[in-house]
Amino acid sequence: MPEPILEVNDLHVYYGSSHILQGTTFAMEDNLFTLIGRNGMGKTTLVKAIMGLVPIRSGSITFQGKQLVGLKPHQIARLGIGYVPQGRNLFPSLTVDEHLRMAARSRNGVRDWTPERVYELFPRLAERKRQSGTNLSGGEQQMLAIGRALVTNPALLIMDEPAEGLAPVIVDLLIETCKHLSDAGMAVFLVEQNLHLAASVDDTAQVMVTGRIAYSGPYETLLESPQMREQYLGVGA
Amino acid sequence: MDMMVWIGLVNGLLYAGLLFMIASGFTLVFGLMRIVNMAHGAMYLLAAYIGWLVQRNTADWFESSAGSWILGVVVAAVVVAVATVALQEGLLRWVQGDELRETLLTLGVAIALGDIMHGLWGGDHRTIRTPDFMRGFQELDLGFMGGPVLFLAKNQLYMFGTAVVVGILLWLLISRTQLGRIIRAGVDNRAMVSALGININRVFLAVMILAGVITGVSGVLGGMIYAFGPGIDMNMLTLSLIVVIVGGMGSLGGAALGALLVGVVDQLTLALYPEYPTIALFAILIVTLLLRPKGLLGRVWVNA
Ligand SMILES: Nc1ncnc2c1ncn2[C@@H]1O[C@H](COP(=O)(O)OP(=O)(O)O)[C@@H](O)[C@H]1O
Ligand SMILES: [Mg+2]
Repeated sequence: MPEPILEVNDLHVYYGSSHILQGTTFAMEDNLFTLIGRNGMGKTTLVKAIMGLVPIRSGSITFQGKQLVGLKPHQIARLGIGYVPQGRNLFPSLTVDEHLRMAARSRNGVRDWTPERVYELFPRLAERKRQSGTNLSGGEQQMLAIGRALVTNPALLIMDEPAEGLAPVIVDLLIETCKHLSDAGMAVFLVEQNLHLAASVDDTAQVMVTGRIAYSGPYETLLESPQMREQYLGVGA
Repeated sequence: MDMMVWIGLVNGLLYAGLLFMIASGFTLVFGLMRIVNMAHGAMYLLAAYIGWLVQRNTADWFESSAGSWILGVVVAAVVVAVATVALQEGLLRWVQGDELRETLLTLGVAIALGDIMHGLWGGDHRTIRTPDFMRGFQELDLGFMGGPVLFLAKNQLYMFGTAVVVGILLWLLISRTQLGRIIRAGVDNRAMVSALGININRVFLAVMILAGVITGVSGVLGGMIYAFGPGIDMNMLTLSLIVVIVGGMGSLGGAALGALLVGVVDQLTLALYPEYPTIALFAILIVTLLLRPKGLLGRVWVNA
């Protein structure tokens, strides 16, 4: 069996005295990985732990065989992980073009993604190069956050709820982009709250409940079983 | 208008140059690192003493009086940059992220440095000798605005010119270079900058060096015009604080605007009501805080 792209083992993270990640364990074997779960279950905390942005109490995170626990965020990013945070975290002081230029970097000599290529992928950003990143529509902001991660030329792209608050047309575009990137060989780790949306991207679901992966299996099973949806995702999900 | 008003306005403008230079380093460090560097005034005073010492001890190395003065500027800039880096790497780095501790630590350094300087160089107030090329006066005819003819000390004009050059260079650095983009992004959200693969500690170091160099240069320029000695460190710290609070913490444009306001008000009160030297400054501070708590050009911080 090939080495997993990302492997998390018995990960524990606390915020003060609240135990948020309670022994999270999973392996990302394919190019596409979708993590779903209700609000407040610890998805964002997991992503931040991977990026080195929250202190880790115990457990291990390996990316392409390298241990990430103990590394600083910039070291983790430089190993080839691109991060699109929940809420996008654009820089109000930077224009669209400056976002892409400040983040652009080759990795191991690879420079597949340049600001120019991001503009080809998202032509709407090219029209707004000189605008402040925070003057864009929600969809454009999300494109910029993705573009900013892409120009670091990651091997793995982690997106935390990119569809949050966006119009359906834009969401479709995002789904297409995810599929397109993972088909083109980039590993994509997508965090999503909406079951149906995630199911339209991927076949296999990972469901997080209070800091653990509670279900790992086909989306179909979840879609067909109201009891399981109730159990893992709460009412109406 | 009254002659004294013109003098106050022009002196205030010139003084604003020095205030801007001092406040620019202070505000950059605050914006990026969220450290209120209470040792900033002590660094200014250290620079002034170094410029003074170098000038006294190397005067006969050079034909022209400019030599020892310029050497003083260079040595002061280097020493203050090194001291600032030592403060960052030796002390602040170990309590990084704990803003109260960082600030208290810089306050401790400020007090210790102030006492050491007092011990080494005594309680007398001193000035750095103005080299010959900056001596004398320049006539300024304000007739076109209905004002009088003023004679301005050349050394003050040089200081102001330096401040303008420093301001332009800083603006170019911040707005046009990769380091500038990273600094601005870091002021917005440090954690996000790190998560893009940028070593924020190196950026901190670069900003500390930059602030140290500017403070070093301002100390020698300022020490040539305004007497310095024990107490000036805390004076300069207070002025920097007022300038950046009024202008907006972390904003370079704010530092310029704040310096202008503080400089002009300070010199106007000095010219018109010399018996109330600092009340007007605190009045500006209070009014700004009441009307615009984030300062004139201040903005909302993303905390991370
Ligand atoms: N900075 C923080 N400090 C304290 N608690 C937090 C912090 N961030 C998140 N939490 C708590 O941790 C839990 C998990 O949050 P999060 O990882 O954001 O969940 P999700 O992304 O699945 O919605 C929630 O209960 C939330 O209230
Ligand atoms: Mg979340």
